[in-house]
Formats: sequence, structure tokens, C-alpha cells
Amino acid sequence: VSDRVEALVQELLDREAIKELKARYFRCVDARDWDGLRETLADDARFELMGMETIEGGDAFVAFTREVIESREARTVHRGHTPEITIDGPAEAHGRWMLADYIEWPSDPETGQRRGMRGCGLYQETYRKVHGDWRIATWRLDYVRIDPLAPDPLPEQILGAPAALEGAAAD
Amino acid sequence: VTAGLQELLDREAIRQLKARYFALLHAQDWDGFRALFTDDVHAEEEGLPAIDGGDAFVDLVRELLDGTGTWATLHGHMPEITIDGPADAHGSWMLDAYVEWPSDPETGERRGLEGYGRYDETYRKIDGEWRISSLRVTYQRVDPLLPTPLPEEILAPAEAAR
Repeated sequence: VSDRVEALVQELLDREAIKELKARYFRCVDARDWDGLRETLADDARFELMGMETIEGGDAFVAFTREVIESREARTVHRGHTPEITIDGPAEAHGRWMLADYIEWPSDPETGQRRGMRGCGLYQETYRKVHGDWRIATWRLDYVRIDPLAPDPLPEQILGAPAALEGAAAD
Repeated sequence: VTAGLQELLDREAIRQLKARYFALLHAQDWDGFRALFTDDVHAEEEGLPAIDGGDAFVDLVRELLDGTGTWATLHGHMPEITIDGPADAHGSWMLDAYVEWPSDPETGERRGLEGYGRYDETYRKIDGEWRISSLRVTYQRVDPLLPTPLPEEILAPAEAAR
């Protein structure tokens, strides 16, 4: 096998690994798998969210995410789309992802109104290979649009479904 | 073929397998759909009884969708695929499901759901073709559709859509 073919295969493997790194990142956030999330991040990773003060370090970011999601009892759905990945060297890469997310906090206890948002955003990230595994090294998220949820409560039951699904409406 | 290249080919074949799963389901091509599964596939979906066997699984899906007036759009996202051996692999996919059953004939209210979930699957290569050998669907959340009928026209349409 020529060196050129070898290099192309390695590039494809690296691109695959980075795409799955981000898939794991999203899955762990939504599943509240905080140890799993931490493993996707470099120890010295930096995080910028919409002009907030920069968060320094993987541990600090996981603590921040737990505060926003777990402590406030949010239910989250994150979907990443259309990755653009560039390999910059044997252990360096950068990329962009579109984000669609759906976040709901507990309803207003007095009025019963729903509280939450649907957002569309853009991630700009860099990645670093550490001991053979790609990790997120810098992370920046800018929302293009954030829509509040309509305040009316959802119906309590799924209607029209096969009997087994009718009771499946979450919460 | 080097090991790295074979891994990439297998990963791509499995992603194509799952893409066909969604396409054939939407096309209601049941023979094509059946061919995606091993004969001994094991299927579990939250809220439904577990099912063994490709024929039984396809029969159930068909019963739910074919000729029932059900309109289902399923999207798969963010695959994580791991090749475990020359003929074994596992993976997960995120699922967005938008399912609507016929509206209530008396009140006209919509009936359906929007579901956000995940597939956890295993795959096996048989005679050179990857197939789904087990699948489990779990949901992060399931929202019932609001009962109000949708407007019949697109509001504030772009010029091209008028």
C-alpha cells in the first residue's frame, strides 16, 4: 500500500472518530452521563457560550452543564447536523456543526405553563488527539435563533395510537 | 485491503443499511425492509412487547403502518458504530419520530406524537452483507400532538411557495 493511500485512510479514520466523538458528546448530555461527557473533553478545554465568561477546563464545563441541566431538572434533546471537519495535523483538527435543541424546565408550579425553548445554533470547535483518542479542545456555541416554548400544556395522552403507546407520553 | 480501509468500508455499509431502513419504511417496501434483518432478529421498543424473528417484526411494523392511514416520518441522526469483529458490530442512532394517526372523525382533532429517542443495535455480516441482528428503541421524550388542526395554507409564504 502506498504512503498516499495510507494517509488517506488515516484521514478518513480521524474524521470518523471526530464525528463519533461529537455524537457521544450529545448522547451523554441528553442521557446525563457526566463521566461519559467528561471523557469527550480535553482537560484544558475552553468553552465560550454566547458572550458569557469563558469556562476553563473539562471539569468546570461538566459542572456548569450539570448545574444548567440536572440541578434545574431540564429535559433536553440535542441533535447535531452537517459536520464540517478539517484535519490540520496528526493530532489537530477543527470543525463546525449545526445544532437543533429542545430544552424544557419544569412547568410553572402556579400556572402550569410550560417553560423551555427550541434553539438553532452553530458550534465552532477544535479537537486534539490525546493518547490516541480525539477530544474536544475548544468549543464555541452561538445560537442563530431561540424560540420559547408555547406556554400551553401538552395533552396528557397520546390519542389515536395503538393501546400500548397511549400511556407513553413522558411526564 | 488494509485493516483501516476494511473498517471504513464496514462502517459505511452499516450506515447505508440504516439509511435503507428509513427509506424502505417510508416507501412501505416490506420485502426490501425484511431483507435488512437477520432471520433471528430481536426487537424491543419501549411500550411494545419484545419480538423475535425478522418475519414477525416486519409483520408488526406493517400492521401498524400499512393501510392504517398512519403518517410516520422517522429520521436517524448521529450514528456511533463500533466494529467488534469481521462479521459483528454494534451501534447507536438518535431517532426523531413524527407520527400522526387519522384525526378524530367526530371532532377533527389531530392525533399523533413527536418522539425523540435512540436506537441501540447490533449488526451481523451474512454472505458479505451487513444486517440488523437486534434493535432496541428507547425514548428521551414523547410529546402528544396538539389537537388543533393545522392551518390549511402556509402562513406568510415565500413568494415561490404561493
